[in-house]
Formats: sequence, C-alpha cells, structure tokens
Amino acid sequence: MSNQYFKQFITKKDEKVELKKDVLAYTRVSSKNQEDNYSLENQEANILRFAKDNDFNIIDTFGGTYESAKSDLTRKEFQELLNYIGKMKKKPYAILVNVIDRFSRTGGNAIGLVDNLILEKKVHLIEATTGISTENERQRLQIYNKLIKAREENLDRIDRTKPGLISHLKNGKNLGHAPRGYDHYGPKVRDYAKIEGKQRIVINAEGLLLKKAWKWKLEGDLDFEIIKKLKKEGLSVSKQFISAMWKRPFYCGISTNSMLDDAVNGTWEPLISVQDFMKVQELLKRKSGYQIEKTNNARPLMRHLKCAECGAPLTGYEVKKKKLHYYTCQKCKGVTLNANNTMKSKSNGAHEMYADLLRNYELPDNLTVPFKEQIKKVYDSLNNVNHNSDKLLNNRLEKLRNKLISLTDKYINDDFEGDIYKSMKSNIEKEINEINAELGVTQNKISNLDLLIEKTILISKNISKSWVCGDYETKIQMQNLVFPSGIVYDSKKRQYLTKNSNAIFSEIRDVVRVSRGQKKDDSSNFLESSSVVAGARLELTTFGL
Amino acid sequence: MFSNDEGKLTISELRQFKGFENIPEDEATNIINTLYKLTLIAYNEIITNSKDLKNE
Repeated sequence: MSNQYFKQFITKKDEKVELKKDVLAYTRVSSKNQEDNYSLENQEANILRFAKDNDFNIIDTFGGTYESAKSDLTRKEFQELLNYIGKMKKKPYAILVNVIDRFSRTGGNAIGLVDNLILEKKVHLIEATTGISTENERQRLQIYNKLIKAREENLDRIDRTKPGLISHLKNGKNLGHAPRGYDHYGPKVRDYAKIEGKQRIVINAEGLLLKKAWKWKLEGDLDFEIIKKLKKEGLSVSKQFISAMWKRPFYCGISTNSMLDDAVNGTWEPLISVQDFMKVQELLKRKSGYQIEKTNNARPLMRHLKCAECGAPLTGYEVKKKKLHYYTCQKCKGVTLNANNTMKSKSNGAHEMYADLLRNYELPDNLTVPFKEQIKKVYDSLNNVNHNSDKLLNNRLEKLRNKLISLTDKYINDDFEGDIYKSMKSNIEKEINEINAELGVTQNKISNLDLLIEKTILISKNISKSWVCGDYETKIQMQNLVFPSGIVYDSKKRQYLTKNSNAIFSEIRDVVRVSRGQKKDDSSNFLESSSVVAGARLELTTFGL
Repeated sequence: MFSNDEGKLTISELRQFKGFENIPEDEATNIINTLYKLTLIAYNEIITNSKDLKNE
C-alpha cells in the first residue's frame, strides 16, 4: 500500500494572502553632533526603503532625536514607543530599526525587553539593513548577539571617555541633567534655546520655590505640609520627589558623582548652604530613629507628647469598633491615654487635659501694642504675596486647561483607551477644581486690617479655645508655638510636665499664678528662663486628673 | 510663609515700644517670631473659615 493515502493528514500552514503588516519605526542618534550629520535622515530613508520593499506599513515613527542608549529607562522617545505599544488595541507586527544598536545598548536588559515584546505583545524587532527578524529563531539569536555586542561597544566607549568625564566633574561641572529647580545651559542639552558653548546651571522659577521648601524643612515643617504650601504657590511635587531632594547634595552646590572618589564643589549656585543641608540631614536622622506614625486629624498631639519614662514620642491608634482614639508609647507598657473624654472614663482625655493646660498660657497685655504693629506689617506683606500667588495659580490653571484640551484631542484621535483617558481627565479636572477653590479663597483674602487685628488678638488672648476650635494644622502650629519641644506626659500622675515652653507664654503662666495667690519668682527679667518656671509647674495639678 | 523676614518686626522697631527698650536680642527675636507666627495662625483661621462659609 502506498503512503499516498496519508498525504491527506499532513497539515500545511495556511497559505493565506498576507495583508500588509503594520509596523512602528524607531530612529536615534547618541549625541547632538550626530543629529546634524544626516545620520537620522539616513536611518529613516533606509527604514522607509525596507518597509516599501517588504510591504510593511509604517503607522508611526518614534525617536528622530538624540538619546543615549546606555539606559532604556531614561530615553524619553524610546519609553514613549514602549508605552504606545502597551496602549495600542491592535498591536503592530514589529518595530523597525536601521541597525540593532539603535534599539538599545543595554545588552542583557535589552534582550529581556525584546523577549517580553515578542512573548507578551507579539511584537517583533527587525533590522532594516540586514532584514533579520526576531520572528525567525535563528535570526533572533543573531539579534541577541548584536545587542550584546552593542553593549560591549558601549563599555569600550565608556573606558575611553571616562578620564575626560572625571576631569569635567573635578572642574565642578555637572554630568547629565540638572535636577528640578535648575535650568541647564551648555553644549550638550536637548533644548535648542539652551545650547551654549560652556556649561551654565542656573536656578529657575521652580528653584526659587524649592528654596522656600528647604527653609520650611529647616523650620520643622513636615513633608506633607511643604507639598501643600508649594502647591498653593503653583508648584506640584510628589512626596517621593521631596523626600529624594532632601538627600541630594547637588542642591547645596556639591557634586557627588559616583565616578568621583571625593565630593567636589560644583560651579552652580546652591539653593541652600552646606550648613543648612547638614542640618536637614540631622533632622532626617533624628526622625529615622523611631517609627513615624502617619498624621491623623483626630490625633493632633501625636509626636508632640513625649513619654515621661523613656522620652519617646507618643504615637496613636484608633479602636475602630468603638470609634475611640488613643495615644500610646511604643516602648513602655501601660503608657496609654484616651484622646477624648468618654462616658465611661472618669479621667479627662488627652485633648481636654491639653486645653486645660493651655488656659494658663496667654499673651501678656504689654505686648498688645507691638503685636498690633506686627499684625500691620504681616498684613502689608501678605497682600503682596497674595497678588503673586494669584498670578502663579492663574498660570497653572491655564496650563491645565490646555493639557485637558490636548488630552481630549488625543482621545478623539484614538491615541488612548477610554479608561486611561477618563482617569487622566479626572485627575486634571480635580486639580483645576482645587486651584479654582484656592483662587476663590485668595480673592476673598482679608481685605480688612481691623478684622485681622481683632481676630489675632482674640486668638492670642484665648489660646486654649483657639486650639480646641482650630483645624488640625492650626492645632499643630499652636502646639509648636507654645511648646516648641513638645510636652512630657507622666502616665503615673496622669499629667503633662512642661519643661520647655515658649518663654513669652511662660510669663503669663506666672501672672495667672500670682492672681491665684501664689508667689511669683523674684526674676525681674521680662522673660524669665523657662527652666526656672518649669520647676514650679511640676507642682501644679490644675490640669489632668 | 514663615520662611523669610519680610513682614516681621525688626528688633530696633520692637525696642521703640515702651517697656522693651533694653530687651536682649535673643528675647526680642523670640517675641518677634512668636507674634509673627500667631498672626499667621490667625490669618489662616480667617481664610479657612471664609473657605468653609463658601462651601456651605
């Protein structure tokens, strides 16, 4: 019997008429000089010719500029290409490059990337000059070899150029982009308007705001407060950025590039002094010594209260079932107190005790006249600041509106999927609403000096009530003003021990004591030493219990 | 807003007030900073209240 019979069981690949395949093109040069020597045009022309000869349809082109391929993550156009593929509903057949080293020079990373494109997205990589494609297993290996070779070439180049780069750094110049807050001028910058013969790094408008952020940090503001303040002035920064900025010596004019053995002084203007940078590092170290609880609007005294036994700041927690908040010491057993008064508890809560304590602290009458003068000065200054702040907010609003229009255009052109568009649109609209609300408030800013004087004097005369009625931020600010180092909680006596209160408020404390028939200290000084006052205060039991 | 000295009383201005003529520099600085911060707290309170009223 002939095997002819079994011919019917041999499965052949469908010999369909292949439709024209959609592809994306990517070109790049690695330096500004190459951009001008027709290299990009040559790459594009080769890719176009190859696409035409092989019946590929180029649906979009990426690159067209210079980007160093030593890292895939920092290449803007390259990342856009990958993001674009990720978002495309119908994936392209392949990415066309003139030669493989145009795609990447990261070696192993690039192989991983290509593997991922093939397996996850079914997108291939094709080299136009040779026609090899990752679709063919053997050719795929050739492409991987070329990617490794490209990495090797890059390493050789680094070895050759490294001495020059080190000398550049030792002369106080910067390598790579200047960080946020600076404009970078020089021979190798992306922005044509900033191309100059020599490197020059200058503080820009954002930098002036970041300069304020450093000062706020030094004054003890928390990162979330600084982010909020910056936003009010028209600058949005993430908590990651702000946290990274504190650790970057660039901002105090010091270069710490990994190619250098020692730090060197940069030629750019610092945002803060070296001394202040070091102070911030100390602040950061102090905070990292213990676990920082997240702020909680219901527990303004967190970290402000210190444990009398171990000195650690009290943290807080909520018993959600009972909807009750507590302060506690993480290190000492039994040091816990309820934040608020409860029906069951016979003792006052931490907040009530604190309000009682503040009743003894008010501004003395002899300060009223200079205080009014101070209020007038702040009033004049703030009116000036508000004018500038409105200008910044309006600029930001204009930018966001344009962004929204451009986003909608892109959506209409089918660049985005519906969900992505909706999420991005909602974020922009949220920010627009916040700015509008802020503008509404700034336009309603205090136009009456008498009102500011009246309100300010009232607050200073009744600190306790103002603390009780104030919002979270007001509470924090007042606490820090009266007790800059916080106060100690003695869990055995269930009372606060106030060792280091603001000297201004201490005087009032003594006036209160004298009026209650107690003997005032002999000190003739207007502001007596707070440590002297503290000794007497320990005896007082007007608060707590 | 706490960051610069713009809007703050100066020590010499404070010393022009009765009872403060001979106040030492460090005490004067503390008084000025405290008065300044108290003013800002009051200012923020007024702003927040006007914001709340608007939202109601």
